[in-house]
Amino acid sequence: MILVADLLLLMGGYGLLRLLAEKARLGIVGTVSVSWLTGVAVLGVTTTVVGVAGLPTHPWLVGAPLFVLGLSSVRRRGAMVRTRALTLGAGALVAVIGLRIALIAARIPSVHNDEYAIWALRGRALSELGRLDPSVFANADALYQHLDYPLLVPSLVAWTDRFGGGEGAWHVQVALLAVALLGVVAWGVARMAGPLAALVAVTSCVAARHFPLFAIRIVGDLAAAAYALAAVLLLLSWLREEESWQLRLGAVMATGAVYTKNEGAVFILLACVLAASVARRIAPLAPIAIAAVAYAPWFVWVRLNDLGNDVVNTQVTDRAALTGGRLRQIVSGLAEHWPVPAWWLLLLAASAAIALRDGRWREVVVVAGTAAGSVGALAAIYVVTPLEVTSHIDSSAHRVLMFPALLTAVGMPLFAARSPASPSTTDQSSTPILRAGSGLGARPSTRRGTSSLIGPCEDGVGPARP
Amino acid sequence: MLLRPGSELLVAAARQRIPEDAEVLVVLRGQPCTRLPLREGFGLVFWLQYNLLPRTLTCDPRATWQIHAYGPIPSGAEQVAPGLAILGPSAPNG
Repeated sequence: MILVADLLLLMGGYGLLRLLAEKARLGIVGTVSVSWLTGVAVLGVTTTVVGVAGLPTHPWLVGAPLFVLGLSSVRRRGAMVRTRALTLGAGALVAVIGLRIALIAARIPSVHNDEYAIWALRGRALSELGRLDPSVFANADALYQHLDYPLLVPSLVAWTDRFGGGEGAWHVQVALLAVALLGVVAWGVARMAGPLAALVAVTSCVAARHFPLFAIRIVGDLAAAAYALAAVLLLLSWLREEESWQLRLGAVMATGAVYTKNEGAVFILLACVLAASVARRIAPLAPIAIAAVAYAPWFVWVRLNDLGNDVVNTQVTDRAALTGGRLRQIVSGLAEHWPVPAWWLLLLAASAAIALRDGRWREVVVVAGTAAGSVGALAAIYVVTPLEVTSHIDSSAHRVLMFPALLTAVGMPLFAARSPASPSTTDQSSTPILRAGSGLGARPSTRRGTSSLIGPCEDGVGPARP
Repeated sequence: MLLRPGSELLVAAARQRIPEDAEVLVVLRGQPCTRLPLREGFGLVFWLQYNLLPRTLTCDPRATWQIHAYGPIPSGAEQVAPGLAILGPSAPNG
């Protein structure tokens, strides 16, 4: 039964993908990854809306939109795309890593504190109580934790549970979100910087400290990173090509990020504001605006039930908390728990220099600004935490830093690919690959193909050809 | 896992004895619904929240079913592991 449930998620996600981006060519890796993320996001939103409305969170009810979208996908066939061998290689790498992760995940029970105290608990409560029961979801008195956390991951756990999957299956489902993260990175980076860069990006992500651990643990951090990375990659694609479907899909990914963890909203807000700033257009604000509207039901539930955030002390009056010792503790703590090697930042800077030389400053601003801003926002949480700051950082920084760290890992190969519009690579006809990249459509002046250092990819580039 | 020995035995006994629609009061070191440092057994509360579902936890001192941990064990309660006991409806409350 669990395979049926997963197929429904995938097909439902694919249905919405085709609805929003009918002419997009994502290739097999992008299509599967984005479809999975989309299907799970739809599930999270539907479960929340149904739950907040006081209706039972039964699979037949929360799965109805997925079923309808899945049916529409059968009727609405997407254009088949040719996928380059190297991109398939990146996809195969993702599949092998994913299979390994899934095999490990399937054998582990929920024995980590954050699983049984927060994420799996809420999923199991949705499943076993059959509704958004206030005796759990609004009962801070009985010490239920982090009741303001949104419901995407718990929805996935509940969905799996109702289809007969046990704790092992819950871990596999969450692991599939991590695999989708890798798939989206492979697709997004291959699209903008070529398949070799995609291989580097995927490998860099997996090499991040704790990536395998959080890929098999029922927590929201890697899932939030998956949605936020997907949204950033779509925004970057939009900056190059200005195809509206990129923002529509970006809105879905933004919604997924916001519905996964509270900091997901900060990540998306930063990326959208920066993209809008560098583009001098308001269109890139659409993803965060749509995500905010989608989030409204959960926001209302949290406010109506007066559910505060357990880690944000809004009563901070101690000015010493904002200066001196605590800031030093925070900076050193975040540096200690930064999930990728520090010297990668030097590589990122070198890669950014290449991108800046090629005139791709907008990408550098969005990626570096979002990563730096996210770290700053997370640091601010530790400033106002009511918990003992060192133990709070030690227990969470390695998780919450995952998104900005992975963004820097993705930024390295992305920046290293030079633009054909740059003076050093003006001969766009010099390679067949560049010809493919330059045939993007009617607005070449606003679109930047990619390049010679690592090499671009025709896989999924641009709108469907007539 | 932030749990002491006996937690699994407690969960097994509680799931066997307490009806699925019941609300359960957890009394930790003699105090209901209180936050304590994890080293004082607080992690047990989360473990029970998770493993007792669909039973839910309550702070109502009149709860028919109570779990007492690492503190005084009331008369009539059944000790299922060292320091861990279940108080049911057949016993005098409190």
